[in-house]
Amino acid sequence: MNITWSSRFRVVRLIQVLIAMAVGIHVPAFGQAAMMDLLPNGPASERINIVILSEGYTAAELAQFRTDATNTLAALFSNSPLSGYQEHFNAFAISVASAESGSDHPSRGIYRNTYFGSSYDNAGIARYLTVPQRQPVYDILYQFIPQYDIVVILVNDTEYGGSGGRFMTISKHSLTLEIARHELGHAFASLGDEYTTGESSGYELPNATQILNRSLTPWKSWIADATAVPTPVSPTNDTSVGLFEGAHYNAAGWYRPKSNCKMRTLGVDYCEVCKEALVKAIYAQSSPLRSQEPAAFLANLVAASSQTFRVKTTTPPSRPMEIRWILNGSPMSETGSNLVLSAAQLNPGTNYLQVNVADRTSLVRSDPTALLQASSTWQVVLEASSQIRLERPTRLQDGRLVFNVVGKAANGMRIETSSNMTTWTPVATYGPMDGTFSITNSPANGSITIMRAVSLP
Amino acid sequence: MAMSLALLASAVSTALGASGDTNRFVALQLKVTATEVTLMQALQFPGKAKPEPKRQGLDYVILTAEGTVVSRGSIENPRFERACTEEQPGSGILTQSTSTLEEAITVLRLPVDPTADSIEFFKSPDSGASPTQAPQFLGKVSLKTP
Repeated sequence: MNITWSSRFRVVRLIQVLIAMAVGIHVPAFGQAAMMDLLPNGPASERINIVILSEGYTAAELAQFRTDATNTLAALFSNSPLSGYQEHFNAFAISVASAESGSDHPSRGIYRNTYFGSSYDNAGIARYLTVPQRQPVYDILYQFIPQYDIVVILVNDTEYGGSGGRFMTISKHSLTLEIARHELGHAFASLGDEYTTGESSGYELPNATQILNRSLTPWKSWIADATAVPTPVSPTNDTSVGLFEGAHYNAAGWYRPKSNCKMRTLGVDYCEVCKEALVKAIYAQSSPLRSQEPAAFLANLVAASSQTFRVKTTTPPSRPMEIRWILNGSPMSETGSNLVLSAAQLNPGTNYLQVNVADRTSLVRSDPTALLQASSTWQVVLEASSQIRLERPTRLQDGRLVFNVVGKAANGMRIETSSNMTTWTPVATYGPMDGTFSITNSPANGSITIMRAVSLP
Repeated sequence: MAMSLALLASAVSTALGASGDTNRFVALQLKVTATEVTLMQALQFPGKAKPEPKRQGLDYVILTAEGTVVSRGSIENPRFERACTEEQPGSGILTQSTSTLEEAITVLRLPVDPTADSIEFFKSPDSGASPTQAPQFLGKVSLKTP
């Protein structure tokens, strides 16, 4: 019996579904997945990779998904600080078709056969939209982009809803984009919620602390001396960073940095402390140093020559990247991305050239682990362009003199003779050499006893 | 002819270097319950493993065969799902909903390290926990290919 590949696939699929039904797990509804670059900025290993997955889009709706994914990405980057740091990110849209459009709404008896099986009405809350099984999500990520960092499941349903966690799930309702920006603070920068209702986990967070000591608080560099601690909520303190009581699902005993912030209320900007955490999270995964030339650690310079060293960095939003060059431990005056190093600046032998780059953004005041900095070092060996010596002079029985010229003469050399060490007469000229070169003076002339090799300039 | 042979030898050497590339990472897919962490599958991929965002929930320790600590870290406990929802759409006022799953899966990505022999998992202690309180051991996974 001949079975076509498509019918074999259907048989396998049927078996998968039957097994899944028997053991009660979700099996994705059909779909040939494909990935599209939305924001290509470099190798996945060196960038932060945002992946937007389609859910509840039929094959006929996948073109719309690509538009929706593009709009979602634009919304994620619409606020500071991410708006100024886009070049640290790649973004991809993975299209996978669902058998049916939309999502489940169990409270209304609406069920859709979708790839990831998303559903509203979780935990008794209509707007709690999530996917029940993570395995199909991981399978897609393994297949296309195992170096995923931020995963957004975009559900083709216009009803307001979403959820956070390892995978962010959002619907197409316009208000969910603000939820997505809030959830990004959790997923990407490990920020905590600053509102007071809910179940506390008890862990200290970059923007929530139980420490009511000005000098020990995690965001002490942002608190002005004149700001009272704890900091009362009042119009005069609206723009101050301090220790405001009420955060992390507790009305008392936990403190937040600012009266209001996106991690407390939607529609508000991130506060200074949350922006700092986001910028540091970016640099924790993506270096400010993009590339360097020469790429190799070891660079050889020949005397009387020069070499250009280059670094390519990212472009911070507020001020230029600080670039400092250091030669053998001494800072140099150059501050650009290119440095022309001449042999005259080097010591004979081995030298070390280092370049340090740093984003001195005002968004970050505390960077104890130097996340916003990167450096690169070259070992630069200064080679003499011409350094030759004579070795093993031997008088042959017929009177001729044999000797070796050893070393490097980049532009060639000339053999000269003299009888008085004052006047020298050329005997022969040779091209560039590097190594050992045997010379035999000819014809035999026993009277010549002084010879030298001169490297040509 | 001698030069051709030298170039050929160089090309072969480069190819062997690439095949021995250690610039790879492993994705450990884990099943997490209240009392146990077990390995579901381990997959290797080319490329570098970036540091996972610092989370609390599950602590891990990577050990050599002799028991020396190679590195430590922590990841979010996937059993605890959470949603921030607005009390009224558009109001901006948030409230939290949580659900705790019996079991959940998560993936921990680590650089391939030939010295790493095993990884042990523990429940992250609360910030209010006593420093002398031993963390709850949840399981040990071998990192050596059989």
